[in-house]
This record gives sequence, C-alpha cells and structure tokens, in this order.
Amino acid sequence: MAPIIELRNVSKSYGNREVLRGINFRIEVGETKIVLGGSGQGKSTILRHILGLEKPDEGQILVGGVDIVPLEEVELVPVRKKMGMVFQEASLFDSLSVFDNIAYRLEEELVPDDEIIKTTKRLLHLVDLQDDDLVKLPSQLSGGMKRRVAIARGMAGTHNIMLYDEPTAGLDPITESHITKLIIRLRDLEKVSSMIVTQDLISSFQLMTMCAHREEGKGVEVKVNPAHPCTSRTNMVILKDGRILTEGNLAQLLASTDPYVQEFLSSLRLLATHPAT
Amino acid sequence: MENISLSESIKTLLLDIQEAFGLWWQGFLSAFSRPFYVEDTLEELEAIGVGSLPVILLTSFFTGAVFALQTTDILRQYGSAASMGQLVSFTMIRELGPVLTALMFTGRVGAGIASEIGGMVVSQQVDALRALGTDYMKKLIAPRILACIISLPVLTAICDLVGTFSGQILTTFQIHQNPHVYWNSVQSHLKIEDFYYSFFKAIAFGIIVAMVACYQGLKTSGGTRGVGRSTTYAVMTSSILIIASDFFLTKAINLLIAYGPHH
Repeated sequence: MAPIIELRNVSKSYGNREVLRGINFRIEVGETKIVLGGSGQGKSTILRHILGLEKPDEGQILVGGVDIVPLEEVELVPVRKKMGMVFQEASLFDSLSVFDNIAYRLEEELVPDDEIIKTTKRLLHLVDLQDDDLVKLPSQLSGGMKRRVAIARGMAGTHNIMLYDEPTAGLDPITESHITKLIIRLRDLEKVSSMIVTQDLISSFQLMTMCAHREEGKGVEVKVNPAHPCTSRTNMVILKDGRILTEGNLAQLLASTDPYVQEFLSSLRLLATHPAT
Repeated sequence: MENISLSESIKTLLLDIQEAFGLWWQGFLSAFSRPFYVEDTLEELEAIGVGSLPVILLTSFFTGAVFALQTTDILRQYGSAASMGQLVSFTMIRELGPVLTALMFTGRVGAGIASEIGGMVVSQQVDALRALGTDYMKKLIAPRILACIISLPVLTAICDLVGTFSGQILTTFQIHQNPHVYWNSVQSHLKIEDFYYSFFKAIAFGIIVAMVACYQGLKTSGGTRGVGRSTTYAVMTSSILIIASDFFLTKAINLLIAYGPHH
C-alpha cells in the first residue's frame, strides 16, 4: 500500500540558516511516527510543510500519493481536510466557545445540526471533557484542557491522519500522561495514522510500549504491552541539524551506537530498563 | 548614503503597496466564488458599518457646525450669508464628508481589523484555520473587504447629510437665518456631479482601509508588540494614503465630469 505521507529529499532554509536538509521519510497507513530532536532542529517545520503551510526549497511532499508542493492555497484546502492538526499552543479560536471550536470543521462541511451536536459531544467525551465545558471560552480552560479541545477539534471531520506539534509540552505529568494515552487510544481504537513532533521522552516511551484495548464491562484500558502489534506500528525518527540521524523502533534506537542518539535517549534507556518508573 | 536609504525606503513602500493591493484583489475576487461566507460578511457589516455609526454621527455633526461657525462672519462681510447652505453642503459632500469619515473609519475599523488579524496570526489561529481546510482569504479577508466597501459610502452619505444639517442648525441659532433660506441655497446649487465626489472617494477610501489593515494584520510578527506595531502602521499608512489619494481622486473626478458622457 502507498504511504499516507511521504517526504522526498525535502530541504528548507530561512536566509542562510538551513533548517531541513534532504529529509526523506514515509508514514504508512496506520503507522505512528514520533519525530524527536532538540529545539530548532526543524521538527515543527516538517509538520508545517506536510500541511502545506510552508513550501520547501527543494523536494517533494506526497500526501495520499499527491505532491502538494506545487499546489496553490485554494488547491491545498481539500488536502488539509484529510488531516487533523494539534498545534503546540493549541491555537484555539479564542472568540469561539469549546463547542464552536470542535464543531468548526463540521460546520464548514455543512454537516446537519443534529449530527454536529452528536459528533461534537462524542469527541468531547473522547478527550475526557464534560458537557459543561462546551459553553466555555478557551480563556476559561487550563493548558491541558485547551490541548484536549485542540485534539478533539483536530479529530472532527472525515480524516484519519493526525499531526501533533509538541502535544504534551508545558503540561503537568498527569495531564501529559492523559494526553499521551488519548493519542494511544486514537491510534489503536480509531486507527488514526499520526505524526508526533516532541521532545518528551517519557511520552514517546509510553507511545512505543503501551496499547489501548476496549474491554467488556471495563471500557477502554491503556496498558503496557510492548509485544502487541500496535506498538510495532510506532516508530521514531531523530533529527539533528536538519537531517534524519536515525530511524527505527524502540529496540533499534536503543541499540544505536551513535553518541548523539545515545545521549539523547539516555533517560529512555533508563525507562526501558525500569519500565515501572 | 542617505539617498540610498531613501530610495530603498520608497522601493519598500511601493513593494508593500503592490503586495497589499495584490492581497486585496485576491480577497475581493475570492468573495465571488464558493463557499460564500454570507453570515461572516453580515457580522462584519454590523460590526464595521453599524458599529461606526455613533462616531460618524458625532464627528459629522460637530464638523458641520464648526465649519458654519467659522464661515458665517466671512460670508456676512461679503453679504452672502444666504449662500451658507451651498457652502456647507458643497464642502461636506465634495471634501469633508468622505475624508473625515474615512479618517474616523480607519482609526476605528482599520485599527480593529489589523489588530484582530494580527492577533490571530501571532497566536497561530490563522494557521489553525488553514490547517482545518479553510480558505482564510474567503473566511477572514473577503468579508472585511466587502464590509468596508459597502459601509464607507453609506457612512459618508450619512456624514454629508448630518454635517449639512448641523450647519443649518448653527446658522439658524447664530445668525437667525430662516431654515428655508439655508435649504433653498442647498437645493438650488447642489448638482448630481457633487455626489460623484462623495461616492467614488468613499469607495476608494474603503478599498484603502481594508487593503492596508488586512495586509498589515497578515504580515504581523513578533508577538503582542508586533500586533501593536501592525495596528499603528495600518492607521498611519491608510491615513496618509487617504489624504494623498484625495488630491488625485479629486483631479480624476474633475476630469471625469469635464469629459464625461454629459459633455
């Protein structure tokens, strides 16, 4: 099957600063790709390129087999409708309520009103928010709640690709864990292909070792299960100086002899040795 | 060195105007293709047009009155107090109405548009709109452009009327002139051509305010400080463009009337 997203030799510079240098990678249907790297390594820039918010200087970006680089803003609209995006700062529409934020895309797609209400409430509950929150404005929400609303907004509509830009940055450990488990649930239960740009090693470790199951009478459970096939569909890419340094699953990355990868993943190594932590 | 930086500044200004006009044109055209954001346009019309009404009513009332106050003595000296209506209406409709309304409009609406769009840019809300598959030109720019072009001629007409009316009130109370004398003077001297000035200038100024404000808003960078900077530039640039273009527009309308279909 053709990859759902593919980057071919993508390069981008801002002035004299090269941010991306010949990036190549692909995301298969149902795969989750975690992009790790230090600050300013071009992680978020990759996401912005996949959405067509920016154009590369060189290379091709294929979404669903279509090269989006030559497309005009108007032509990019249907391509973007295939994807959901969660921005680093949530970027909710601050003059719209939680309901209107989540329902935004459905309203744009002229979905009937009763269907909009049903879908919006389903998404709200999926991200562990309550009906009372629907009337709130973004300014009345905590950081974690904003991020959850952003995920629900990204999920609304008919698409199965999610892009997350630092979804857990700046959150407390409990909210961070909730958001990560939510991403796992979307991956395993809603079969969403995703790309997660992050610096959060704990969250990355959870994504690579945990699976979500719907169990009779118990609802949805997210448990550590490194042997389950869902974790094998989660891979990691490490960026350094605008290049892909290495790519693979958890075991492959931990076995890497590259000093930067070893240093970068030192705390992940600790987690792998003592998963209970 | 100074010459180089001056020529560079002029070049930058011209490039900015070219880009801003390109954006305006693209936004204007996008209003006429699907999907139509009728509700957004009506909301903007209410916020921009109806919302500007109080400030336009107040300023036009006092401007008409003060103009009459300043000129009554001069006209009386020449024994032409009966021409007061002609003078006030002529000045309001041809010049003061469109320019004053546009300047008040840019202070209120231009600043509002630039800061609103600028705030959305720096908080990545415009990117979020685009990421959600919305054409931001249609959703954000086109409704504001249409609202400016529709509102400004209407507000200008109201300004012309209120200014002329306040001139009459002042004349009645100041020199005890019969209102009939004032309105006769207005009616007998005003021509349809005088309204061309008001109408065409108002449309041109509406284009300028929307063009500059949307452009400055979209190119905002640098957080909240950047939003403030964009707002200031938007008001400053459009005010200068309004006053400068007023001269050329007056000249162009003069020519249009002189060589137009009636001649």
